[in-house]
Amino acid sequence: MTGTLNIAIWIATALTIALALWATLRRKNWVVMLCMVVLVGISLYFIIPPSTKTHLGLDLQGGLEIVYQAKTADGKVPSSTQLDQTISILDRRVNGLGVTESAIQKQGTDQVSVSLPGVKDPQQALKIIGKTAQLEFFKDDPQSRPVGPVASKDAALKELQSQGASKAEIQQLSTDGASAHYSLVQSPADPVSGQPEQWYVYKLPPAMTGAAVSGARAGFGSDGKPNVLIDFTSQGSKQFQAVTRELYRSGLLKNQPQTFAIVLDNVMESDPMIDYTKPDLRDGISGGAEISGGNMTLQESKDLALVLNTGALPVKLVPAFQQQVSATLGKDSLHQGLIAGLIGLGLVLIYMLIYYRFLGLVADLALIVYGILLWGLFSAIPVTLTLPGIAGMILTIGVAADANVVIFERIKEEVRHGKTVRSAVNSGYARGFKTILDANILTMLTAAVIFEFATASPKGFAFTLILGVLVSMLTAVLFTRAMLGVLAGFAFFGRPAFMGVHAGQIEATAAAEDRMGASRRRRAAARAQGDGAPVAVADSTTATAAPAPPSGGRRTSTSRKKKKKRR
Amino acid sequence: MNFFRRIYSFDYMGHKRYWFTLSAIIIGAGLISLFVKGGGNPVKGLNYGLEFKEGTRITVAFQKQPTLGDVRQTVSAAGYPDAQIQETPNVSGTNVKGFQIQTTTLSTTEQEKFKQALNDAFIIAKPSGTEMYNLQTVGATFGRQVVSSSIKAVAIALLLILLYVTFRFQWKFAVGAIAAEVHDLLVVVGIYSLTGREVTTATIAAVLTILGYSLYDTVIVFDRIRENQPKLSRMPYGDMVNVSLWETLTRSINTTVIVVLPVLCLELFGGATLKDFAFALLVGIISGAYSSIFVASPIVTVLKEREPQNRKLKLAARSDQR
Repeated sequence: MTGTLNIAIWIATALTIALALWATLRRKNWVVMLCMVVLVGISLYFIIPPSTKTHLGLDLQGGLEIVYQAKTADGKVPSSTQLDQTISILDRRVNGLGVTESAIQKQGTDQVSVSLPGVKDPQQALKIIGKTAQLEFFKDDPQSRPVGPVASKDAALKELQSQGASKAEIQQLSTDGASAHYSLVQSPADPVSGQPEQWYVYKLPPAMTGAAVSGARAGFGSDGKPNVLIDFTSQGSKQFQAVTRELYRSGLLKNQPQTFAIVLDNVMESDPMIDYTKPDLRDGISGGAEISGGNMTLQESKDLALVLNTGALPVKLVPAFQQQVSATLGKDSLHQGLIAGLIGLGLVLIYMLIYYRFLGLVADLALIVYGILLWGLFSAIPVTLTLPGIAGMILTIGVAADANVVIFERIKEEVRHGKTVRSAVNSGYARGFKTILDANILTMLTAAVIFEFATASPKGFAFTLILGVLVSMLTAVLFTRAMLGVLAGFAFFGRPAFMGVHAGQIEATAAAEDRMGASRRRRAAARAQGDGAPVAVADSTTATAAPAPPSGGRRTSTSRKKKKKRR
Repeated sequence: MNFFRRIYSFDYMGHKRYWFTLSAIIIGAGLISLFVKGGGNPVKGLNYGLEFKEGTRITVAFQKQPTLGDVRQTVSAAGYPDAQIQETPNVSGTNVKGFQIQTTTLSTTEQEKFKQALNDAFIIAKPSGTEMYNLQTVGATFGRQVVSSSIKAVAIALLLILLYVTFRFQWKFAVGAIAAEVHDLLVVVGIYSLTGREVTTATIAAVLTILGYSLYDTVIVFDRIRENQPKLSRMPYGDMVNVSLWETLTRSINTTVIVVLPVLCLELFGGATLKDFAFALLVGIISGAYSSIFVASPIVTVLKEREPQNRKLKLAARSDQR
């Protein structure tokens, strides 16, 4: 329902803009004004209430951002299918965390960026998201476990080398935790039972893998401690039964209970024992398995279940960039950014008003409309507002105001040259627009290049800049033009003083124009005589450009003479 | 008031040597600083932020501000004797005192242990229920990617500008525009090296924007030159450029003021990140406004005055003055 409504609003917006363009060409100023009112209305619909409809980036509301470098198990660049799979698994994990506005994106060919604005416990999130979740079941017999338990990683690797493993394999095991034939497993220290950390080397392939798991859920064991129950697929169930039956039998044979290891990402999560004295285990365990990691907290058991449920990632994720912003910092940044923006906007409004008087008022109104439209566009798309984005927005205030400055300077120039205010407005827009178009196209060109090639934070900035330039063309060109067109109908509008042009300036410029004409005629005469020298070049140039009465001996006297004549 | 009148009739093109010298001095100082601070390698002459290196940076506020020595001891005991620790008067923008600790890259587990150690020793501040604890970690390859992507962006942007300006104006104008761009780039980089300010990804975004803004300013002057050329074809080229500058001067000043005002507000009232941004923008906008008048236009004039008909006009004007 809301989807259809949104599409309808987008279409209405597009039509309104098209209508405004058409009306501008046809000089139907009232229609343009009306279109703007409609656009402002649509923007307000998207903006209000701002507290829920403005999307804040994590630098403004606190949260966690991580960029992962993805590698396949053997250290290569992952395929795009693998990356897509990774993203969908990450997505499920993040949803499991209950973060609402998360964003998971591919970056380049081998990076994934995860942003979790407003996440309550970033440490917990970190532990869950980046987990490869490679689940492995190993039998704990000398064949499957050539090394262990030993006290350190180095000791484990040394022992494996003494058993004849190649140097290259040891090296790979040391850095990646796994090699072609072996997997290095750590059993972390347990502060409760006082057991120190232990290391093992298991032989690959494992008896079972995560592929056998159909689901997992957090619960409590018979000892009342939190645990995770694993359910197997029908195939996995059979495998598990076979493994446990085998362990039961060898336990019976050796007269010693046998264990198997449940390993997650090279860490031993659980080491359950098959009790050979219980005859009901004779045929193995058929139901499911249980991970009871000694003193797991309830939260940890839930996290583990979530990770197991979402499945193993096809790649290994190494954090390349991580940023964790506290909510306090985010709120303060937003606050400061808003204050700076508002003061900045206020100063610009005042400056325009002082310098351009009545025209300034028109430009100010256009700037306010610009602010509303841009904000509305941001909420509607929606663009996530970040700090660089705010900076970009504040900069575009300048760009939007500048479009008016360019045009108004043109209009003032035309008025000084003696045109009526009404025709000056028309030709001012016609000439000013070309300049603005060129300048804005170039700004957008650079912004587009930044957007395409730069990484995260400059990207948001560039996007803001592009939107800002587009919206500013709408308000600073179409809207102000229509407004001036409508106002031109009123009598007061014809007075040049309303745009800060004084009668004296008009005369001075007109006089200068006069002399320009005179010098041109003189030069033409000189040319006609065959003598190519421009007679009074320095004289004429200075006069043309100086809006104020020119200073300096000879020239001043000339212009005075001229003025007197005119009077 | 007299000054304001004079700038509308000043012979800018006749004094090009001064402008070129001024720019050369500023850029020269920046380049020397880059070489000296970088120990002969200008690339190393900047103070790069964490994004370009590798490591973990933690900004944290505690319930009671401990001494630097206490924090150093705790961090050392946690296994990071090489960490750089700094007291900061405001934990990233807020007015709360705290510390900034920079270590080698920490893994997730290490991060957790480290935070625990800090909390055990000093108790992390928790105003209104949220911890004052910010963390940033950058792996080895990330910084290199940011740099290479930024350089690529600048190079492509410059190339496109060259093409666009050549297409819309003439290659001589494109040379002037690019020279102004490079000028602004060097000025900003030089000032960052001289002041030793930290270069972050925000700085790079700002520099890229400056390119766009400076060009915008230059194009507006060029546009007027293009418009005046047929009208004032009998005038020596330099004088015609002067006229164009005088005519666009009010706009240049007003626009610069209008863009500088909000950016100045960011510099004054914004938080730490916004301040970084604003500083680069401020330097760039001023340099950009300067370069349109004092770099881009003189270069176009120099190139254009070499054309035979413009040379003739100039010589004629000179003999006339005598």
